[in-house]
Amino acid sequence: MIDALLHAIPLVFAPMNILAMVIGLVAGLIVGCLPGLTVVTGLAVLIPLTFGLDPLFALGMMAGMYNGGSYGGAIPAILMRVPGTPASVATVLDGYKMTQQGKAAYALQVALLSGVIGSVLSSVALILLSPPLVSFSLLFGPIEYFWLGILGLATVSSLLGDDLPKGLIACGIGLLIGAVGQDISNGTERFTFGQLDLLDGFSAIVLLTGLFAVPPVLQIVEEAVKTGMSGDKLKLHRQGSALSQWRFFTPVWIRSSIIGIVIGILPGAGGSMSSFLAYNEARRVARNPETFGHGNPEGVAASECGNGADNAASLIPALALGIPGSGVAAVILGGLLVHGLRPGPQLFREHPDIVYGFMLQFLATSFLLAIVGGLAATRIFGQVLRLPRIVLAPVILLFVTIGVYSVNNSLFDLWVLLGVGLVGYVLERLDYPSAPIVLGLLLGPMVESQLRLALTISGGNAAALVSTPIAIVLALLSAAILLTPAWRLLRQRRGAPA
Amino acid sequence: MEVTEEAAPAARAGGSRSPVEIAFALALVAVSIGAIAIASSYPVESAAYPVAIAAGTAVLGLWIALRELLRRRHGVPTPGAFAHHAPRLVVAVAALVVYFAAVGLIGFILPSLALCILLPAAAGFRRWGLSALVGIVCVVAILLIFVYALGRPIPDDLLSPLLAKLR
Amino acid sequence: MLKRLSITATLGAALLMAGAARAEYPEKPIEMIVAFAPGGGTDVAARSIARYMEKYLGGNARIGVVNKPGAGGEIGWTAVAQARPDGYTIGFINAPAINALVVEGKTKFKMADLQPIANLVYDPGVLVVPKTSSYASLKDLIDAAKEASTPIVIGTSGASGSSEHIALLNFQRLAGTRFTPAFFGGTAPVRQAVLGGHVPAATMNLSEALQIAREGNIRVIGVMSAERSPYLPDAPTFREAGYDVVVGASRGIAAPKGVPADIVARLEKAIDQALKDPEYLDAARKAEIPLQYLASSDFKAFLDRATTDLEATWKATPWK
Repeated sequence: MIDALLHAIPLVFAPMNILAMVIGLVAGLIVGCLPGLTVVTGLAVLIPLTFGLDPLFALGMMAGMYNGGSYGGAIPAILMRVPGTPASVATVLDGYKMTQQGKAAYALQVALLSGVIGSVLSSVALILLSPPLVSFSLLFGPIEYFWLGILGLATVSSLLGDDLPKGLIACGIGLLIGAVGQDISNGTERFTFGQLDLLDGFSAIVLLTGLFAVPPVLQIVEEAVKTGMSGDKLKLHRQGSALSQWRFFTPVWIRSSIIGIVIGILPGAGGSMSSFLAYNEARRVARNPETFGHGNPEGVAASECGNGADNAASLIPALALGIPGSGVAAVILGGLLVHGLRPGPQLFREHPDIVYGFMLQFLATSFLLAIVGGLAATRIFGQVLRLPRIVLAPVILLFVTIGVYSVNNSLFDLWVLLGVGLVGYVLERLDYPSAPIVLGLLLGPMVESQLRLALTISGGNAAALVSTPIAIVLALLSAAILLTPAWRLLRQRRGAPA
Repeated sequence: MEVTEEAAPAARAGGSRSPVEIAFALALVAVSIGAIAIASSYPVESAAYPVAIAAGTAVLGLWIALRELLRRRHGVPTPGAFAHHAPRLVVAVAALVVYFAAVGLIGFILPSLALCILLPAAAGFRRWGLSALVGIVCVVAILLIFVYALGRPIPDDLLSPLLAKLR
Repeated sequence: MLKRLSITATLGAALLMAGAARAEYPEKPIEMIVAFAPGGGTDVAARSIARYMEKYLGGNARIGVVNKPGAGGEIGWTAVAQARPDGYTIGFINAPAINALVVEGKTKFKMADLQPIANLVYDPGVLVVPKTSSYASLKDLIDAAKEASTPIVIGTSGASGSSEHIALLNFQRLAGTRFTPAFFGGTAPVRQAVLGGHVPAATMNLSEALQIAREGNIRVIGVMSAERSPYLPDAPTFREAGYDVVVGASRGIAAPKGVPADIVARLEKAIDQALKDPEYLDAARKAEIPLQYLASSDFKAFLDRATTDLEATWKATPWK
């Protein structure tokens, strides 16, 4: 392995390949920060163009696009409350609050640095730990995925907000929306009203965009502020530097990276779950959990670090087994195949310099992201905030509209966007929290389908659900997460009279 | 810079959002019951999950509605107005509806330009040049990224034959 | 919807009329509809072939891939069937999934509304078991199924009514036993489940099983093709074991019915040439894409046969 790594280094840092990585990063930043456009789309367009190119040139672009795209999603999430990708929803919670408090540049820097650290650690895991991690991921079957979904849903407990029934309602709304669409195991069309567009359910990206992007548009028009943010607030000085506070952030980074890597190697769990779980964990162990959701930089750090750590890790099962851990990994797999690189253990034997080169490119693009992303985010994207706020309303709407349209090329989705946006506005004005809706929406279908698969496989025997060690561990973890807030409350009550 | 209007409207102090609270909670109950009714025709294994959730949201919705009614009886309805500024909210919602309808009818480009200029104007913003410039820059950027670089289609547009000639 | 489309179309046409009258085809970009999301197998196949079709259509032919995903392909296929038959809208269709939808009788189009142009890929189905499994052959599996008190579970990558599910229904009828299908809804999850031994057996397409089977991580106990696959010559077919189960997923290109014959011929030829392009062929061979070119008439016969077969199955054992 060391040999292969040493061999790969000069290839990776050949000028052409550095260029490829930078091109990929910039393209990734662009597709990531536009809601509705995802890295998957970017890669799908890119791959056919890489036929006949040097594999490492093509793979460098892919690595760059993956890392760039995952940070790109955080930019509009922080600056405009519009998550560029589903994985950046958890970033909105604290990131946008920081922007409102005039700390946009700081928030972006925290997000960037955390994302970079997450992806660096994830790349290191990819390089060093692929084989053992692969066998771990194979331990996950429907039973384990069911509990993983439950674990994700349990994190809702820390996102419910101050009004418990409203938090639960929000979660229920998400779960209900997630139930729309065809039931794959018997073809029953649930709540589709004969609409073909609903057969696969609502697309998550359309719902998330509606939920998060439309309410601020309405609010901006209502407030009708005719000035923009002053340029000062986009300069870093006096906002603090995340780099010099590394001691403060390190525990969050380590925990979030571990969470991101573990979720990343489990096929099908995906980036949004990593960022939410990392966010929840940061909040759960924090001394001041009540400051989360009100502009706590740790929230941004946890979410983005978890998201970044998901990236390279999701390639571990893809490279070693041919099982893509995410949509992006699936497309990258396709890209490897057209260059004749067949995933599986033999890949490491037959093309070690390319495999390790690709892994190194992940590492290299993570570092390059720190430069390219830093320049792009504050120097270019941040300046948008200097426009008068009222002018931003149509700008947000334009990008959201075209992004949502291009997900399915369907006008139907635009009306869904509007409908969800209006409901989202009402929910927001009535203090219903939005994060539980997202979790319900993303994880509900996973929990239901995996539970039913598990029961089908076990012949309807419910005891099978706790028949494996991992299932039991996950179930206990879920219970612990659910009980933490209750326990904390109890302790406070006991402490109060004394 | 120039005219900075005070954001918080004066009307806020008097109003309460409590009617909206109750209306929304009841609407939620109605939707949940509707969902249960619809799901009752599905096979059991498909119906169980949505019915369980809908039952939960129905109960919670009733809880919120009752709680708000009780609060009103005690003279402490949930404070705070529903809208920041109701007239402008109505304008904004109407603008969105018209915009989406127009995108469906005549495509993306013209309605987007119109929205960029007219929506700020409706809220009292009078720097037309800036609005128009921002609109044009955005539309051009979107066309460049989505249509030319990524080959994603935009809604059928009145101007698309023109664009095709420009390629 | 249709009305709006036709308004735009008329306006567009009116503006274009200013230019040339019917010039050499293609005089404007061709839209290639893909009924699945960007990044999926069909999408990648479409974007790859589109580049080479452009080359062989000559001039400055342009093909734009348009994804209309949803409803298991139905949205995109409906769009192809209902498009203007002017040769500027073509689309990828996936048999037998498209035939199954039509046979179920809920689609807004019939197979006759489509003009098959050419088939590109044929990927047979396979039945696989984990490497630790005690089933070494189809016979072992059937014997075990007949003795078992509860039906053996077979994971499938599709949903109910997918070609794999239908193949399974046919197989259990021919074998005189019963299996319980577990629908994973995607290839990655079912592959993981079978690799990890979470299901006793699973179905998927050959190309999806190829690499892990070669590595010995799973065993292919039956290929649903007429003859053994050149990519995996050791794997026996269902026919060899005495069960006539021949099912596979195909990807081909079709246009709406009524496209002028000369345009169909132009497209057919361009696809044939593209599939023979050394650069394309090289990439396809490296990626082990099971290419199978069928010209328009053969493709039509192939689709017709799939429809008839499915109608018979639907009568005997409706899958929904």
